[in-house]
Amino acid sequence: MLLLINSSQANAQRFFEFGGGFSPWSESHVAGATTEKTPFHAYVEYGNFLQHYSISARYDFSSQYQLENYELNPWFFGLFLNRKLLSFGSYRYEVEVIGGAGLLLEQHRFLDRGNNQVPGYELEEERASGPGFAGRFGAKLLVGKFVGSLFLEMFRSQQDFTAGQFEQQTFQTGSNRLTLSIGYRLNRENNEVTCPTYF
Amino acid sequence: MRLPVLLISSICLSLLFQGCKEEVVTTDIFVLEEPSVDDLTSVELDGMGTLYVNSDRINIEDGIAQIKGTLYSKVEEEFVAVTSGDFTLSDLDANGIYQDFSGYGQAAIPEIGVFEDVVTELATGASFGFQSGVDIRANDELAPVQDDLKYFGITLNEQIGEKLEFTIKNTVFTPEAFYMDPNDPMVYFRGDLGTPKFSVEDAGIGLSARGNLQFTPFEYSEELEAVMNVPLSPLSGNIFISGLVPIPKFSIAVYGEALVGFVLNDNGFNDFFEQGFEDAQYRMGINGLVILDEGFISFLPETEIGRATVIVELEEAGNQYIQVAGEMQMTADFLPEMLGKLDGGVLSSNFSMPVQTVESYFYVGSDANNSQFFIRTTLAMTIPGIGQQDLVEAMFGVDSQQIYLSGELGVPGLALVYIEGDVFYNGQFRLAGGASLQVDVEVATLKVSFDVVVTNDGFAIEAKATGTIAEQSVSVSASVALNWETGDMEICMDLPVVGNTCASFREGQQRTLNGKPYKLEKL
Repeated sequence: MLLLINSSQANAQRFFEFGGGFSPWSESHVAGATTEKTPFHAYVEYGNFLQHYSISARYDFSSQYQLENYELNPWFFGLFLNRKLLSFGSYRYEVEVIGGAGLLLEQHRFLDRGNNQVPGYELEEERASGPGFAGRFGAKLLVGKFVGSLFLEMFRSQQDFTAGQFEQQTFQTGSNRLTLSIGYRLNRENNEVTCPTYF
Repeated sequence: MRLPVLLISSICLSLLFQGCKEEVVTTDIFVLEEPSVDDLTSVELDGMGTLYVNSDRINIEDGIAQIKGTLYSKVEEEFVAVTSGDFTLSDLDANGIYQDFSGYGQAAIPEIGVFEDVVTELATGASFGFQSGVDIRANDELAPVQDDLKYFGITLNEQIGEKLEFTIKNTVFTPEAFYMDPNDPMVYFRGDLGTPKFSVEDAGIGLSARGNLQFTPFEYSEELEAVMNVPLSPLSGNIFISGLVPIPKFSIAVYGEALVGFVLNDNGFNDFFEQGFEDAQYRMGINGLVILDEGFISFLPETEIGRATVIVELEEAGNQYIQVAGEMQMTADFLPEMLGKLDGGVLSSNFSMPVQTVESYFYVGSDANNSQFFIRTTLAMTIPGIGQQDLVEAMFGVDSQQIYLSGELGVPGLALVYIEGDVFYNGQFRLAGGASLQVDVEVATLKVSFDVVVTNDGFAIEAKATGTIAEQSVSVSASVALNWETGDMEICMDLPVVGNTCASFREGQQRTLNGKPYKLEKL
């Protein structure tokens, strides 16, 4: 009976969270590149209220950086392990401070967007893909089942592009970002213990 | 415990943020660069000559040169950017000449000479190939290319909605493909050429920056060239047009290949694309097919001239003219129709021509009264008193005043005699000429010469024979005069022994011999 109660309690502590957001500030790791388009993302997260770790999966898209006549268009899938470092508040308003690290599978479209349209040029679009890693640090504000978050993030990856040279050269295709997200956390119940009152 | 972790994490992240950026080198290879005159590498292309590239933009390995940047040609000691892109030169032969060229580059018009005023918009990328003049002509026989040279074949991407567009004054060109000789530079393409002033549809258009395009007129017989007011001369120019070329000033159009040049007007190239064929000042040579309508020369019926050369001079005020030479198909009613317009039918019955193809020449000057028309033909002329005579290899010229006639006339009883002269529309005419022949037999060597004059009044022949007969020097002269109206004829001979002897034959009168009556007796 006690085990059943514990199991039931454990299920009650698990949560799923899903949401999406964007990065109002984003900076490419390629020196001189400027941000042309805001990155967007969607995520799902699984964790336990009673434990400090959660895992999340993320799809990041729509980034675009401009380097002279070239255009970098990265997108990636990421798998993150998050560690709750600090939390305070109540069910109605709770703040979690979180650090995390992740692995990425990144894809890049590197386009020649000079003054001349060159759609027939074999290197007008160079594609590259490969792994990367990420680190993030930030906070979540939970209001009931709704979640808002703000993270500083760094994504690291390397890809090889020609960029008008005779040989390919390695580009640091990652970025630093400030990311805002909103989400919805399933299974979040008001589990605050209140003392019984007798009259 | 948790606060220090936060702090350390923040510092690490901040350091990472600062240190993760790296420099890379990028080059827009499709932008025309300035040439580094002191650091250029030359490459030799078969059939095209030498091109140049900034040394840092070429990489040569295993006999293959890759260029990522701007190609230059050298024009009058100036390096001219031809295109910029990614090109491969291959098939290097023992003489260091590359036999093949391919790549992708910017389609643009080199800025030199008259091309400096060409405004290029929507410059775009294009595939570059390497084609010989022979191959180009195989698909476009009128293309102004030389068989032994090679040209860049430039094909724009079809998927680009906005194509290459360049403008000369108020004329806009949007070619989809073109050929380029980078050393003139010259570009040639097919398309429509249209302005508010004029239009040529589906034309071949060649533009030469320095006026190096050449026009060579067709060749015609010496006899026809002899009657031309101005010789048909080769012409060099800036603008080549093939297709239906209008010449509104003279109310004709020519289907063929035209070259427009400017000798007197430095700004002629721009003026031409602003003013058009009608108002610009230019000189033009065309080889092709001409249809002359009745407005071209007032007395000419509509006619078609094949293998025609047309020279139009509209550059020099006061000396504007058009010449048309070529082959025309004579129809049975051409001559009567033309003469009917000139003389009201007086001479129509005097001339007849078989249906044939003849060489012809037309000249129309600023003053329409100067119009002339010549044909080189075989014709028959009816001469009073003699009857219809054939004129072989004749030149038959017509203007508003008279008919000019020359050719070989078969004089009855004599040899073919070359005659020339004029026939007037009132029926008066005078044809004069002569011939000589050599008689060389066992006992005699004689040179006999004839002078013949045929007029509407009569017919006169003077003959002279000199030489030896049986080793005796002989000199004999004779003259025959025939009056058409009276039928009188006088024959005079200067005989070696008898002296000058004349015989007169008069209608209904006593015949005389040296002024004395005589009677013919039967032998």
